[in-house]
Amino acid sequence: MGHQQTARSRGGFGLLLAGLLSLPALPAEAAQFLLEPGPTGAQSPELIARKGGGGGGRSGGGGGSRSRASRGSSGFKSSGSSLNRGSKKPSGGWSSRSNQKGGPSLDQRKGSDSRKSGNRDNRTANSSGNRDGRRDDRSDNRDGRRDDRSDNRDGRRDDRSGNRDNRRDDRWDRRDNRWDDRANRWDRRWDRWDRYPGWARPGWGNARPWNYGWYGGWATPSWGWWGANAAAWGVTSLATAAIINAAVDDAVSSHNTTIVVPNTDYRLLYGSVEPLNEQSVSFSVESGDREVAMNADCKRGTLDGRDPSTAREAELLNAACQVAFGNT
Amino acid sequence: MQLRNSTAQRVGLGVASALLCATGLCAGLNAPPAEAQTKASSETLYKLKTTCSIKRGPAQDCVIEAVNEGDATIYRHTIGKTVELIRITDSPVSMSRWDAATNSWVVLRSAGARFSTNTICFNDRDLCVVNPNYLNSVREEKVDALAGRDLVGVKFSRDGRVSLTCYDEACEGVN
Repeated sequence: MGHQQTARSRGGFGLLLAGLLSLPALPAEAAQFLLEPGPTGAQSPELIARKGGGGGGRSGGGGGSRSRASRGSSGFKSSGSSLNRGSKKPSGGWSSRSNQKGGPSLDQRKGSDSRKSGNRDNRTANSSGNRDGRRDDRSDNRDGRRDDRSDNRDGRRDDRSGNRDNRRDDRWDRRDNRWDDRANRWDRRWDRWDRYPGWARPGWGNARPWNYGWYGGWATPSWGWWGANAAAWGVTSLATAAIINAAVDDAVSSHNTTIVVPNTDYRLLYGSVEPLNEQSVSFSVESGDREVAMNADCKRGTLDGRDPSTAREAELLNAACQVAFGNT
Repeated sequence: MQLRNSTAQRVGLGVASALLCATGLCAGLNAPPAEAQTKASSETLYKLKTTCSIKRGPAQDCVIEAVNEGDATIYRHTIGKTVELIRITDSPVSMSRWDAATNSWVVLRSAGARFSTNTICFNDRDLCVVNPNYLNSVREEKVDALAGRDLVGVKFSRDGRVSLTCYDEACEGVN
């Protein structure tokens, strides 16, 4: 028993030491004091640091299993600098021209807070409704969704034969191979935040590496199908750039990977938006618990090569194009 | 170490050349060293037309050229006739600025970045640049540490190692 306690306290000291070595702000004198070799001629600081927070040392450290000790969490793993070389090419690539207005500044953008609060009331749908940790929700729901998948599949087949005029379902189910990619999709869901492109962050409008920015700015969309269809759908306009931009700003600041497309229940994975060329864009969108990859042609106004068949699809097209090419 | 020295010398010659040219004394010096042209490990990441400011001055047009050389990335900021070189390494993170007067790399005292303005500054505000490419790259490599952060500050000790990292409101007063 006494031996175990000694071992435990030795392991604890190792943890403490490793933690202190990792602490960026630790005064040099304090670190040096703690690194003084003990009477047994301890190993070099570099070796101790490299072994991580496990305590142990060459002799195994006594007490507890070595593997358990080496997996211990010091709590300081991420305590290093948050800047780096910037040498790895981020998703989406590099831009060659920066469109940042106002020049370089470490000061907070003027009016950014008031702008956001000003827009908040105008924002449609439940743009803040999903704020509470979609990342957590995703892992919580994963198991349930897997179970539901086969049920959903059967249900969808029934729906299809029973209700052919449901165009929205038709769209989501249209591609036979869409669901064949399900395994990959769930893997992506697992690490989606880690795969986030670097531009999907505060300042995203000027961080988009493709730097086009020509979309929108019209009183009514210039798509040929807009007038007649909009009248049939009973809508006169689509969500403004300000509303979509504010939704992305909110999602970025609250670490959400999606925005709710205004006036719909679609959730656009804004970080997945990527231009295919100067007028087309690919993106992923969630509807219910399903995720679909789509293309949009922002100039022709098509989704996967077809005219939108509902106002909601038009909103989705508009949102994806605004995130990709719109002014911010 | 050898690599660093040779890199510094090459880049140093480039800077010295630029400065001398700026003062009309560049005869025979404006050609880069031959070895710089053939160096296999040198890779230009990007060139970015953007804006920079020096010592809190007004924004000026500038061009940033990011080059990977060995274990470092060198950012060459050309602002009019002025060239500022910043050298950044990983593991551990270190940043230094080329000092033409002493022909050597001098470690920075501090660096700060604000994501929402795509800006990074070196040595307080001695040199500030808009470089979304750099910040995008940083963001992708430090996803968890930077989630929800806008302002990041780093201070370096005299030996060039990070002595302090701060975020957002904790950076107030850190220059």
